[in-house]
Amino acid sequence: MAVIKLTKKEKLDQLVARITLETGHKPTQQDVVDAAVDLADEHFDELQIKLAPTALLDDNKISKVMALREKLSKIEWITSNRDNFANNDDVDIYST
Amino acid sequence: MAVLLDTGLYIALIDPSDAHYQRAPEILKEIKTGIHGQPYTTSFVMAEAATLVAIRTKKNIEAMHVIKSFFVGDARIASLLRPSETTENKAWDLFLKINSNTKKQPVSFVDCLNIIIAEQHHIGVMVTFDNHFESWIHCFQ
Repeated sequence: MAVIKLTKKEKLDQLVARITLETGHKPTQQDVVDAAVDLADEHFDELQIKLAPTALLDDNKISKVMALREKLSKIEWITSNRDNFANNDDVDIYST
Repeated sequence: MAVLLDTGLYIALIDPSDAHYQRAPEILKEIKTGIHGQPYTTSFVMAEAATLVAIRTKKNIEAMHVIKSFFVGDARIASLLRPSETTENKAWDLFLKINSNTKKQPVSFVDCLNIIIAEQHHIGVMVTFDNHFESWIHCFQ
């Protein structure tokens, strides 16, 4: 089993204390950590933002986007497209 | 600090007939500077963009691969946010509230979701060509 260094032990102790105070039930530190991981999984989007990924856009990425854009400039794009839908619902949602 | 990218930007990047075709690359370069924070988009924007590209190119396979790469491939422009059940419920509340005003144009459920996701993640800026977002979030185009 991998060992993970706990850098916020004081905060973990406070959480255990708060839960004990609020509910009358004292969870173990392991219980709290396990529940926190489950919550992080359920709120993955927020976790993703909190951990702030490295910059997605750089000059290399923009060059790649521009090259793809250039490729697609040669194909036919339609702007009036009411005849291209399978049903009337899609006409209302997507027609230009 | 973060910025949410709406469907219009993705389409404007690749559709030469789009009114914002020339402006779209400039917006990307502005985002790259980091002045608006990290770029994010949503799975509902991805759904709209994918469908619009399929329709407007008559299912051109190359175009569909390109739009995919902008969301989940090696040309990915922004991190993808997916709504939780709570987010969807809040979007329903907003959708019903906004569209209870019969004098105004309908606002799509996707737009409502984008507003709620932006609020939940403290995203203060949206890149959109839809003017009706201005009431909820600072927009630039």
